[in-house]
Amino acid sequence: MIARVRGLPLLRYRDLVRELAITDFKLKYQGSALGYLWSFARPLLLFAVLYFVFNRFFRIGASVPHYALFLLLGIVLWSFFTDSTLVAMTSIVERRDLIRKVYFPRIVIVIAGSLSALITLGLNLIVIFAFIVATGVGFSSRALLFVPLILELYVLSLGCSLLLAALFVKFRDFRYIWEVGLQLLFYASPVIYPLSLVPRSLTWLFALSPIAQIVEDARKVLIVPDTLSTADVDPWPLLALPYLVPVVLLIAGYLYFESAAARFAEDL
Amino acid sequence: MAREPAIFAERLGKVFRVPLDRRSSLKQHAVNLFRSGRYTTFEALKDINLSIQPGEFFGVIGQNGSGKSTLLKILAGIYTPSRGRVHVNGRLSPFIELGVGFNPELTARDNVYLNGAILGLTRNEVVAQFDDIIAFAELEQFVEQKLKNFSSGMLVRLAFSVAIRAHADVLLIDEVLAVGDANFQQKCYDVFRRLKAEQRTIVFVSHDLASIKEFSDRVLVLDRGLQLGIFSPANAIARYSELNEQRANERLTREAGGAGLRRTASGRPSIRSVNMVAADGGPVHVIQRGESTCIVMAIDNRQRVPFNAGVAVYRNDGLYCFGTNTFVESVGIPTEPELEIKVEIPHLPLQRGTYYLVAGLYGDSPRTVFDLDEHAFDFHVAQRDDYEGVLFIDHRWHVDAGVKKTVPDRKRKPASGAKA
Repeated sequence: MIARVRGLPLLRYRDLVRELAITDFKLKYQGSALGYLWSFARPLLLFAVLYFVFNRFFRIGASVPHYALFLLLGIVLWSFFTDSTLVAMTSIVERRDLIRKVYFPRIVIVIAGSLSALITLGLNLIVIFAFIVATGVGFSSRALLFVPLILELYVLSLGCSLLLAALFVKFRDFRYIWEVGLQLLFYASPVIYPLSLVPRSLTWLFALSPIAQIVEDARKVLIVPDTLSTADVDPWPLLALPYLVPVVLLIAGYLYFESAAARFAEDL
Repeated sequence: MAREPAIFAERLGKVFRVPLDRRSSLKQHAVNLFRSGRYTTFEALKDINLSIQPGEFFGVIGQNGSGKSTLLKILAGIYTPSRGRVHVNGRLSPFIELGVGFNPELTARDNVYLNGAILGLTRNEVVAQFDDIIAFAELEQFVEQKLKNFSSGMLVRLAFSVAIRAHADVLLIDEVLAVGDANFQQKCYDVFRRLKAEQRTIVFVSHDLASIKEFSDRVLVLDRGLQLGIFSPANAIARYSELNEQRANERLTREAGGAGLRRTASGRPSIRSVNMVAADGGPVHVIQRGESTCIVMAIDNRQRVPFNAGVAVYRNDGLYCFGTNTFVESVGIPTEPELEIKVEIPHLPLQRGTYYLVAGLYGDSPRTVFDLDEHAFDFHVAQRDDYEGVLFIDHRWHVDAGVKKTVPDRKRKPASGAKA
């Protein structure tokens, strides 16, 4: 085998990761009149629709304090998860020209895609923070816990991304499977509704999802301290599950991706 | 002291699995789960052994599909070998083609940064060399233009200009000089000379035998994945030309289905086959210019009808090179039921090219056609020299000092027919 620099490919290829991430981000809104503004506009438009439906028609908002902020935060976090995984899934296939002609660790492509989504998340969070200040909710010291939550969300997304990107090279079905899966997950997660509205007998089940845990924990630390979180409803051994899933997915995703990566140039 | 080789390959092989039915959906996989995947294997490389020294300019030649690019891709790490092992000492340029990752929607500036990163340059290195890169590519006025507005020549210049900044000890170069004008090619050659002078190891794959000859220290000749050998440039090119002739001959023989057998149902004389044969008697589709050869026509004439025969040589673009027949040469043909007519050519004067024979049988005038095969036999003419034109004309050069009036000097001739 060819001697390659092992260990920390990311350190050696950090400039490539950065250039690819910047390129992804630049190309995303290439040719659209509003450009980067769409980074803000997309979640805000989704928010506007959902807010109208669920606050006016279904009156969920009435039982949730700061429902607008509650919903916006949920949507922004959820959008990061869907955007980054959907982009990552096709990223290897879309860069097939590069993969067939240049050697570099293939994982660089997926990481660059996820960082590009992270830039968008960062821009959206600025809006959220502005809302938090504007609505008078303000920040407490607990807000610092938001940082590890974002890290957890990133780990979860990256794990899913690695699995999906490698699977998609072999099975193009995953585009549809994942789109349907995301729809299910969206309604099965407390994004538009709080966990506290889930029927008592089912709460523990809903609370197993890391998405539920991240979104509710984020609301707890940023908006309303007494938000019902997954840790409050899960029985003892299970409450660790949402926190473990992202790590397990990342390890599994990494191992599967690396085992498949050697053959990408031939399989594409 | 023997240095460690820059590239070392031992018993290297690569087998591709080519699926007969490409399964890219789960359903297809599920349906075929219990059947073994149907695929054929294709052995792109067989048993390659290399030891390339640091500072060597190593050429690789071979026909299309001989495994040149597969070899480069294995050396670059893009493919993993199926058998054997490869070891590369020193930093390797990870690319085998120019302009990889260029994005038409981005400006030249953005693309230089992206492409530089793909080639393993840090951002600071690109920043430091940015002006040089643009200046070498002669694209100063187009830095902020999107690449989609660039001509192919501009793209190649930009790509090459970035590529030569990659600070690799071992460079892999695949057919870079295919595009670009003469001026830019000259620049590329200058860079090659410089890289060679800097003792960088270069593996260079090309169809351009002239540049292979000029730069390479040693040349690997590949044929259908097999290593024919590593030769000096001159010997490699000779071996490669030989190989091309052999392959062309095989192909033409295959296309002709052995020999050109034909049948006509009438009772008139008919051409059974037309072949060009070598001195040893077998049909030959590739002939060296100047060699002796023979056109052999086999003829059926069961009814014993008196006839004449003609044969003509055409170049594949339709140029009528030569024609002769038994009328003009007053050759008598006996009325036997089966016979063979031979036209012996002691020195074939045709220059390099592809030609075909036309053969015909006639009655007592060329207007009565008994049988005509308008494309009776294909053949190639090869030559080892560089004379040009259709025919080889025997000639001698004489260069004399002083002025000897063999031919009256035109300029001094009075303008007798001058039109006023």
